[in-house]
Amino acid sequence: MPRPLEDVREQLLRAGISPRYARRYVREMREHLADLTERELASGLGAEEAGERAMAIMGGDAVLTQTVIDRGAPRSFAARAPWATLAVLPVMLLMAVIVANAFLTMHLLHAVRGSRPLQVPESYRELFSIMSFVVSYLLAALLAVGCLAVALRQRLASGWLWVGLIVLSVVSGILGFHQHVIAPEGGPHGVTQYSVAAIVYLHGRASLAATVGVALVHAGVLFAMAATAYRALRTRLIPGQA
Amino acid sequence: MPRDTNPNFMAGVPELMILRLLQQRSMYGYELVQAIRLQTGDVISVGEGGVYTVLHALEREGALSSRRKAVEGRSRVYYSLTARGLRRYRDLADTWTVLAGAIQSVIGRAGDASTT
Repeated sequence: MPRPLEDVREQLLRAGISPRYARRYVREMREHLADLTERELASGLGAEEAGERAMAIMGGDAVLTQTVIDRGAPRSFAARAPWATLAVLPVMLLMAVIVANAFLTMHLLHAVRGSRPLQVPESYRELFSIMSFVVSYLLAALLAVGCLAVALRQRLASGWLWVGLIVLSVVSGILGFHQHVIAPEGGPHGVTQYSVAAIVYLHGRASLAATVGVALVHAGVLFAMAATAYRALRTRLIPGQA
Repeated sequence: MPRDTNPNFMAGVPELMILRLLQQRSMYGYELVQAIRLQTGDVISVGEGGVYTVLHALEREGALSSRRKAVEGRSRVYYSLTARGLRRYRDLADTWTVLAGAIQSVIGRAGDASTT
């Protein structure tokens, strides 16, 4: 049996009211309902009748919901700008992390390598591989999970979610940070090159065809997983979506 | 028996009543609704759901602060007036006093004219 006023919370979320505010309002209304019910019980009514009478005094779910909406309760940023929350911000965050990772690994390399560029410790190479893997593959999945959570929690329409997931999948499949230590030619010092470019390098060169292939597979897998999770969770968590 | 109130006359009234009651002591929502009914002889009713929207809006503006307290085994949110809320109450009360006086003087004159 659903808790009292659960429908009010659901309708407030669908109207774009901030989840935190909806939760707070419903919690206080439940306490108010308990006080009213207690009063009606004290006046001699039975438990069921007292509960119904208390709810009638409060005006019912529809009136309570409309009161909150009419009086300008705070709307969530995600409800006001779903395009920014689900499509722009995750992609910007992904790109910012790629760049931050690039700077971090560059500084780390300067700190750990010896006097010559080719003297790069094996532990640094391993760390660089792990960080690249996390940024290029896991981060997009984590951001996709974040988008799903926001969309479900705030009952957002799924249109911008799909757009965001596609862009996120493609960008994370295409862009990668690269570091190449080039052996010296005729001099004592080698050169270290950095780039944020196509993710797949074949024979020392960025390969557009291979990158597009990887990006498509990456995007397809990520999108399919996110879409399956979204549909399953929506049916399970949101009333009336079965 | 509660009287119907004209909504046009009610703008700002719940806020004024709430600020006045909270000036005396901290209260929770249900308590405020009952106090307003009791003290106005059921003439003014703020509505069971509406009181929380007013309380929350006043809190967002810094006029009230809230604290969850457990009293007699029940957990409730108690609201208190802040310094800003007190200033706001005084402004609103002054406005209402002037307004009520002005209306009363017009009604009084109209009453005098009808008896002559």
